Amino acid sequence: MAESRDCVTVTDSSGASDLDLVRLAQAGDTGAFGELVERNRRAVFRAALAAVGSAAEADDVTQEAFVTAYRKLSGFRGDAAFRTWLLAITWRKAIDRRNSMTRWLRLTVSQRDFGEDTPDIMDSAPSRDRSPEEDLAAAELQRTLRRLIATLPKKLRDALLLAGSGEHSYEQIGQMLGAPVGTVKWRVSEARRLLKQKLAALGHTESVPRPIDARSR
Amino acid sequence: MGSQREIDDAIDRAVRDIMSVEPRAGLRSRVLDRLERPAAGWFALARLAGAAALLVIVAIAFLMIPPAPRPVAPPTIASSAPAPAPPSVPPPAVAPPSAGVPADSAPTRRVRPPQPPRAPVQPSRPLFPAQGVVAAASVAGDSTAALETIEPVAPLPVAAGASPIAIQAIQIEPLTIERIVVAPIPPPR
Repeated sequence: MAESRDCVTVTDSSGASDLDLVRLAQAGDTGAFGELVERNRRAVFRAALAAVGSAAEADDVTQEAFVTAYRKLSGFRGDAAFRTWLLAITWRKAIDRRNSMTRWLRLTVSQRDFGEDTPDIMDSAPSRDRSPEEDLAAAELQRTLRRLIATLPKKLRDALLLAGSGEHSYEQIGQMLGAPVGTVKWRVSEARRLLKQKLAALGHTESVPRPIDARSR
Repeated sequence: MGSQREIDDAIDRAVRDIMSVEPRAGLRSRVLDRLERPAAGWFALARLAGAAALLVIVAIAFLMIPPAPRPVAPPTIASSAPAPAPPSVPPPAVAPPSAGVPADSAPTRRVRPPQPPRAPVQPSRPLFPAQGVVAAASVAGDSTAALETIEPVAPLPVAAGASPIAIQAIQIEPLTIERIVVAPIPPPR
């Protein structure tokens, strides 16, 4: 990485670690921060999406989270990974958005949420070893599941979506939700059990697993 | 549909579908744009507050200034002679207060010189458009007789033995102000 002494520009930051880029950004190098945005945009966006449920809202939250992170960057000391710190900021922003009255009003006007952003039947790729009828049933099951996920309790839904995003580790999810890793895993498991129970109630399956003892969770 | 494995796969797929949305393109440039103008929102807010304050000040000033009195136009008098020159009346002489009278006891009064009568205000254009039409018609077809001419009044000659009017000078005497004696009132019996 070629770096100027006055830390104004970074010509090549592809090989630099997040911490190196953070140090450069702390010195006022917005280009280095831009590289951090590029590296973490998907993880930040999906964390926001898990909380707010719509891509447009998640996009706003993502921008706000990055801007806030840049302004608070002088307080980042490197005790934790930059991504973990950034995701914690993102999650707070997303929860604020979810709780805001504006969000509630928008939801009452247009129901573009998990359950309503239903994919087209063509979204699920047809399988070669299944009949068209089975493909249709699978697509219907997907739509039903999306609606059921939207009706899950927030704590369970957040954990399930964050874990299923493929962008966050259980440790990062625990940091975001403010819960131990064990609790996060239990919430994911409980969310799945509830989904299966609801599916069974709708006639999709007969056998529903028994609930795991939640104890104090 | 029925096996647990299939249900688990369906749940995984549904979650993946929900979370597989990509962020809108150009996120990096949008974030950097916002970083380069961090105070734009505050600046706009400050400008808005300033404009609102100015508006309030103007409104208060407008309410506090009393409305100017409307000038009353004197009645229009039609006359062919030019308006007489205003008589030049000197202001009345005011005798200085005497030594026995305190200076602050004399009432101060501003004497305004008499104002010449105001010329009648003629509208620059007729109040009613029909006026002009009627006037033009009357000029075009003027069949009426000429107006009676006004002859100037010849002054009468002054008699030979007449004595001029003697105007005596106005004398203003200072006011005599008696001293006020304040005596205690005896209590009623």
